[in-house]
Amino acid sequence: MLSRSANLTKAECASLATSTTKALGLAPRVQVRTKRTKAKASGITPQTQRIITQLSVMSARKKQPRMLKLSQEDLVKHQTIQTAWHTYQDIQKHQRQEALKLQFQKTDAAMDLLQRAAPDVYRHANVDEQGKVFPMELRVPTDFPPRKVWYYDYKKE
Amino acid sequence: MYRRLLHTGKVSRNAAVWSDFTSRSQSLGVSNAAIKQGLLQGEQRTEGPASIKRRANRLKYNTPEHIDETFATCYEYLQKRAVKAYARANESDITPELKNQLLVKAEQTNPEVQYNFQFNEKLDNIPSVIDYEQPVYRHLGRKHWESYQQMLLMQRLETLKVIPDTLPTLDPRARVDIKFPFSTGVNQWIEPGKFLSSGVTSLEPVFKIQEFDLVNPYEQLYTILVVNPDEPDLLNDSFKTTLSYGLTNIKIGYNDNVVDSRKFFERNVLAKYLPPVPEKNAGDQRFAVWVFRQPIDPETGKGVAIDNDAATQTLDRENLDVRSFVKDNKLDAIGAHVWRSKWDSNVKNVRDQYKLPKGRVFSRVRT
Amino acid sequence: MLSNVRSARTLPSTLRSFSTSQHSYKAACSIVPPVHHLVKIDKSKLTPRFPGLKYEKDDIRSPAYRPTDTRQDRLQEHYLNTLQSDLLLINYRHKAETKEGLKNRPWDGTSPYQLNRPMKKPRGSKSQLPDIRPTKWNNIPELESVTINTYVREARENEMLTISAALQLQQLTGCKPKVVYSKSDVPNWKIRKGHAMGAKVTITGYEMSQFLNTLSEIVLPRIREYKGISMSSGDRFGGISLGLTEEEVKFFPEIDLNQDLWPKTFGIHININTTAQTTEQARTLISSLQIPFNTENAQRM
Repeated sequence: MLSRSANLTKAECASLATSTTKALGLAPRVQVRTKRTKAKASGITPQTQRIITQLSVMSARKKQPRMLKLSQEDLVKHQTIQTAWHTYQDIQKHQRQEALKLQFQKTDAAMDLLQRAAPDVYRHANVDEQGKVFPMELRVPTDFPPRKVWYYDYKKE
Repeated sequence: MYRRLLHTGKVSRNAAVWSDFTSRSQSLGVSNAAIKQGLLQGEQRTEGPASIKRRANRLKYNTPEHIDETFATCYEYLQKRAVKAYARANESDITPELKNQLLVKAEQTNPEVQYNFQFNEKLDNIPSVIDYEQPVYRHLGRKHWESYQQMLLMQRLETLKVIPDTLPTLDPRARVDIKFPFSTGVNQWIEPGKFLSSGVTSLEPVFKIQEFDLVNPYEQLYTILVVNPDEPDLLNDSFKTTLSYGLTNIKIGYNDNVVDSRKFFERNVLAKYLPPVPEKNAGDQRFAVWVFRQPIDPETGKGVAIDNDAATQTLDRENLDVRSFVKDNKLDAIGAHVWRSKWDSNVKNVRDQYKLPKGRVFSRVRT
Repeated sequence: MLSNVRSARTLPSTLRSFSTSQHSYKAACSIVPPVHHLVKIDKSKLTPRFPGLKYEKDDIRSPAYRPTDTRQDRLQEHYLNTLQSDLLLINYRHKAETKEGLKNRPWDGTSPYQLNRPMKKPRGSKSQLPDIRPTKWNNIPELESVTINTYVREARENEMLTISAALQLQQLTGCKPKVVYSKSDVPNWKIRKGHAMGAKVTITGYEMSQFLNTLSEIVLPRIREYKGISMSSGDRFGGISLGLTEEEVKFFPEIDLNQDLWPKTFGIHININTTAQTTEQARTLISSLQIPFNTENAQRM
């Protein structure tokens, strides 16, 4: 009897938890299986324990999230999204390549013209620039720092 | 304004080409309203996906976040490309092959088509769901066939040496399946190379020929041969090839493609069915099914029929040369199948049923 | 009687005979099967085992599925938006032609003993060198991968130190490193073959960009009197290396933020691999990531 009631409570808890998660619109909790990192027996020296901990941190084997099980509709939706994304990426890549090709061809044509029109200027224009380095002022663009660094009067909505 | 005009074959130029069924086949959409709703508009959160049968499982299911919004964007994006492909396909200056390709391109990213194809029976297809007359379903069907069944068939043909024992090689283009549906048989499609008991094979098989190529189903004729290259030939201390079953001038469609007694008449039968009756200790016998396309007359565009009466006169059923038969009739092998038989206790009954002579029993002789 | 010839065995004219066993016709050596394979057979797709493994890696039903493009890659975007066309222009030469690399030299054929002999090594090089093609729109140098390795000399006495070194690399890159082992015995250095001696990891894609950003924006500026990568660094084929000492590694925020956990750090070698064909091209590319080069050093050389 005892165990049965315990079971019941467990089931109730689970259903309650799911319903609250749904009601609150929270994301489903992702369960992560992790390895036991605390020593089971006390016969291990701290050094050994340290190495075991380090190894367990590196082991990815037991830290994978569970595989997603999608319903048929969601699987097709996912595939559609993936197809669209790949198509979009392909087109982007193709366009970039086309632009670079055009740049190359135009440069070539301009140099041809220059060679015929002004050989002296052409010689200066065709100097080998191999090994030229970019100036250190060229930065990889960032979103930060923003114009307003810190919102002191921030309030959660 | 751009609605399709009757008899012109023009498709409306609106952006929502995938939801317009005035000029497109119904099979290009999901027929179940609840599933369609869930797929295209997103589920009503209270109930969960309609494809899950049990209500408890439906309620338990969690949809990935923001999938519907993302899907809507992607659907629009792909649909725009489909509109372009349709517009190009409806131009008059393109070849039928290019048109076929464009129609595949326009529909293969359609989620409804994908849903229909992935979650429905592909071999025993229902034409209202998977309609092989649509280029896109033929394309998907071919991909699905190549992913497993075609490789399996070719592996069996090669390991059992059906090629080159009967014909030198095969360039597979059509899916061929066989079944022995009558009371003695098993009512399921046979895996290539399987051993079948003589009871199962005592009545003629039914063939299913699924074409994926662009052919004219009203004119294209097919020949089916079932040959056995393992008949003992004691006179020459060798083996000979016999013809177990021969059908010619068969017409099939893309969907209506099961060749059984309803599909042909007496005049189509090149050789009546003789069931496998292997003799005791003579080893296993392979029964190779070969499916050929008959030639098409380039001038008239009509299929060239084989004159069965004349062919029967010259045909040596007991010692068939398959290669010369194929060469003489200009046949094009597009598909094959194979099953195996060996002697069992039921062979005697089958012989009695067909009034065949008594079988021999071979035994080992020390030389 | 073609139909009775069984698959072109050893004797082409032999019929498969009914009375004799097959063994007498078995080939004594391997024979090439007849060419009738018009369809490539993927055996892994035919097995009924492990259906989950038959999906492509980018299929969400596959256990190997990993979502891609989940984050914005700042460095990659900068490369595509700005650097690519600049690099095309910098490496442009009008009417450039392919510069052929050193190749093996054929024998002159004066002696019969030269028949079937392997060709002579190129003059001035131990092995052949690749051709250098002019840079066009389809071979603009780009970053390929970054390999980080660390060699722990103290691991001769204590092999466990390699685990700490590997963990440090994981901390820096977010990818799983490999422990490396010594290949041979070197008695002078007290190294034995098969002993764990260090760790390495190769990173590509987002991890690579992230690492290079951290390196150029946080770590290198904090190094006191850092001159830049030596101009002599480079493997001639588009790879450039730099090293960081164990003190400099502490400037990585991953280690800097909890120094208590890192009583011992390890110096690292960073090898940046690019698709550039020469070291000069690679230098141009890498200098665009705000990684300085020691140009004084170049003048001295």
